[in-house]
Amino acid sequence: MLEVHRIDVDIASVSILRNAALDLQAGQMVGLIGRNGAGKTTFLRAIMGLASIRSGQVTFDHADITQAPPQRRALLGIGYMPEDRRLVPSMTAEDNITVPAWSVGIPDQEDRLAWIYDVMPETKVFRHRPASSLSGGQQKLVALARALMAGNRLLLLDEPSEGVAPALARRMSEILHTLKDDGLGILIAESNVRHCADLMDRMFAIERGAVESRPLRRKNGGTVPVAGAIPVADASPAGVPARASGELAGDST
Amino acid sequence: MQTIVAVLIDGLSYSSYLFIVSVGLTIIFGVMKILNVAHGSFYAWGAYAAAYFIGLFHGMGFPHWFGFVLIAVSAVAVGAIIGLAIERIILRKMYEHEEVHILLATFGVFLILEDVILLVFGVNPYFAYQPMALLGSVKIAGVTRDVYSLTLIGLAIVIALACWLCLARSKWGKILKVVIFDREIGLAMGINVNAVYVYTFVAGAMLGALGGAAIAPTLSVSPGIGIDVIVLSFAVVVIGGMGSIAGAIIGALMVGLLRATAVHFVPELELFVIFAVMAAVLMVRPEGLFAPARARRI
Amino acid sequence: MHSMFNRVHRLALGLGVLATALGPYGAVTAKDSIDVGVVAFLSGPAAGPFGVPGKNGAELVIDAINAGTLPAPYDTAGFAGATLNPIHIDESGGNAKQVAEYRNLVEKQGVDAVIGYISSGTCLAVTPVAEELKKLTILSVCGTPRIFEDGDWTHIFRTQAHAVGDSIAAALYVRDNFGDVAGYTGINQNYAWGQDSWKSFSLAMGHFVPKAEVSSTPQFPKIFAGQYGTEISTLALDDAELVHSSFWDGDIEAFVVQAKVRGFFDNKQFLSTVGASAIDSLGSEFPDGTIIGTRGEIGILVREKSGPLNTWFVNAYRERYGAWPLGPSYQYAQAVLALKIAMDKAARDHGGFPTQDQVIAAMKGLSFETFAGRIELALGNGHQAVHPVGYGITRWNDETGEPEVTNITFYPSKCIYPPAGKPSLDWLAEGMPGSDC
Repeated sequence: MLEVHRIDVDIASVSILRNAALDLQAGQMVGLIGRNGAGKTTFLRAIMGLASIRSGQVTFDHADITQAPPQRRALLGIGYMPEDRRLVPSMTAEDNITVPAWSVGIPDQEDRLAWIYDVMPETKVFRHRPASSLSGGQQKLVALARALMAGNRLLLLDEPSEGVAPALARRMSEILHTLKDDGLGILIAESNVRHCADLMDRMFAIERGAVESRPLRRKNGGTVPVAGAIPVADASPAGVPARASGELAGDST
Repeated sequence: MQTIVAVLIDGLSYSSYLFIVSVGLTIIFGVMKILNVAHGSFYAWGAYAAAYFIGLFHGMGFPHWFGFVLIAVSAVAVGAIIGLAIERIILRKMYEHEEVHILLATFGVFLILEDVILLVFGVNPYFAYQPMALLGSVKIAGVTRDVYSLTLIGLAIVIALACWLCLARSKWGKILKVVIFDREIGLAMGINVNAVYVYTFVAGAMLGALGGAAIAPTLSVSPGIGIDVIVLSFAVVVIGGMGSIAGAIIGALMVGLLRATAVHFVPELELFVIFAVMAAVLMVRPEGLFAPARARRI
Repeated sequence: MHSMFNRVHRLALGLGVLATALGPYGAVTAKDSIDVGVVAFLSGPAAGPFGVPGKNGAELVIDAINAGTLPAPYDTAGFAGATLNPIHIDESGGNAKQVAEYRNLVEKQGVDAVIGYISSGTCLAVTPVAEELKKLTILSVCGTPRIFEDGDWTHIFRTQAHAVGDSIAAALYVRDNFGDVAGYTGINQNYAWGQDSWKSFSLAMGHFVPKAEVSSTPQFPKIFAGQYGTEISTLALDDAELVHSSFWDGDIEAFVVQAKVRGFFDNKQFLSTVGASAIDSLGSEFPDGTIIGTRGEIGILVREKSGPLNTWFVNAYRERYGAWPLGPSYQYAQAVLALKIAMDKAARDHGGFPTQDQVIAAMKGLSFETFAGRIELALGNGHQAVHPVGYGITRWNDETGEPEVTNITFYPSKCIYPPAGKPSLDWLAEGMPGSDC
């Protein structure tokens, strides 16, 4: 469904992503793991069209969207949840959630909203409260709901479990699992793989702007073979030495 | 009593003038974070267009009331043509730049448009007093008033209501709220921010031009009339909070009423009032009275 | 290396000698042409009513003198025989810019003299620089008395009398025509010009019409404020019947337009010391019965005055620019005239093309016939002009479709200016000793 072919992204003439590549199928949950500053957020922003891609290609359902404006990507069903939530404080939870429906002009927005409340009934409870009065965890849920309003095909989630109480993190995992089973593609950027490793179908490591696939390590210690991953050699530019997968797996436990 | 009524009406009248000339500036700043010095040009061009066409059509024998049509047409035409041109040709390429660079660019545009006025209209003044003469005068509490200035109070109320309806009661307003809060999140939520910017800039330009066109009948429309308006509108907008329409209303009312009081009782203070209010407000609330939430993370 | 240095050195030396030989007053040989900077507002709010009419007046007279077509006694061609090339400079942009423009005119363009300046602010800023650069400079319009009352200048002349006389003549006109006025107030711009005008007018009123009560709330709006609704209300509520104003530029026009629709002029006697440009620009909108002045024997007050020089000036100006000459047209033309007279006189006195010092000596204390009157450089050690100042009453003439001014009275200069060496505000405060009215 989503294919990212060797993209380069610069921010203010500083190279942030180099030859980064990744692919994702519908109904898959894929992790993008890396430390702070590794380029995770930039990678998600590039897919959303918020960071301009200098070279390389992004396709969605085989259509080239590399240069498409963000609103076109939203219309295609890609939703984005930024790490710091960024809800409009003066607007109610529901108004925040419905923003993409107004802007993109989603025809069945009532149904979409009903479906979101169905998946996340807790958001329906505080839908009329202003975003500024919600707790951090509740805001996280609203931000996820907002991403879902446009993103009924692919979700780009930036650190969804960061700064969230364990109970809510578990709830978040549950919701994501439901969505995955509904056939959504989900790309999660995380610095810490612990919370959602169980859900991941595949993982990619990102470090200093380069992305490579890595084996999944389940909590039970077993390693799942990486299916359909982009070969390491492909994902690494000539100038950046490819690192052994095992080397990276070690620091996630 | 007579003086109090006079102060109130003079104050409201001047407040409405201040609000009409500053609302476009605050809207553009609120949505686009651009301190648009070229606002003075919209005012000047609106005034010149209205004065020119009112003079022209009056000379051709059109009735006086046609002036009101020309005021509206001038505002829309100037805002659409100049606003669109500036946004498309200059600002569009600069949104990624620092705010101060954009400010300098708008200042450059202002200087150019001032000179174009000289080239197009020359140095001699234009008059368009026909609409004001048509409405005549009325005596209120012993002071003869021109009805035109009272009509401007009505125009200010209409503009304020229209802005409020658009921002608080429409989907458009909610979309604007998101862009105002955070441009990038607006983009990520599928908002065509470029289109929002075009509409906003053109709307702000039309309001600036409407200010000039509506005030033109009371003026000698001559070179340099836009300069003072930049200073005044900037002061009002800073007092009220940059980007807030409620703030522009309150700022205009404060300055207008205080200024009228000063002019009636201690005229030496007139020049001082607007900046005294500004200084006092900025000491207590540096962001202005009604500054909308910047992209503060919650 | 060595030989190259020598070549450059020799070249520089040679150029130096050449420059000395060609220097403007290095050799007293007849010149074919002189360059003169002509400075006036060509943009901004003062361009329409002041700068452009002033520039036009200068241009008209320069061309006529160059061609020798001015009527007698100025019918010789040229300035000491030389043709004058004007270099027009825009006065707008502030004092710092004007000082830079002045330096540029003198140091880079090498002009022989500078004529102009409308704003008192620019005059005060440029005067010390002109003196420093030792360049003959004739101020044409600005009115602040401070130029020659606070300083003593060798290279600066002003062919326009200072503003105190405008105020005294205004008070005299009120005494003679509206002597029973019970009270007066004013609306003047809140900067040096407006404040000084009001101050000297109220001092003169205290002297000539002592019974008239001065208002406690004279108005001082900001220059170019444009909106006078509140001020008009305050003036309307004031019992004072006479309203003094030194408004000029677009402010006088905006004030008149806004006040007229409110019936202001039906109840008040309006006195405008320098707003005459609005009479032509507003036409029949300008209120009848206004007391109007022009700061001298110039502008609308002398429009109908006969005499070969004035007839020529008015007709030639109208023919060339399609408009009546305004006060500034006369003021600039008079400054040009003073330069011609002094240069011709110096050439006669010394035989041959005069040096700058000879021109300055010839101009000092000059008394000359202007287009419609006489100017005497009687103050400031022979550098500052005095001349009569008059007022009249405006009226729109429906038959001719032109404005006119009736009941004109000019007050002689020995009545309205202090004796040489006496600061005019002190003189006013002391009750104008020695004034001969």
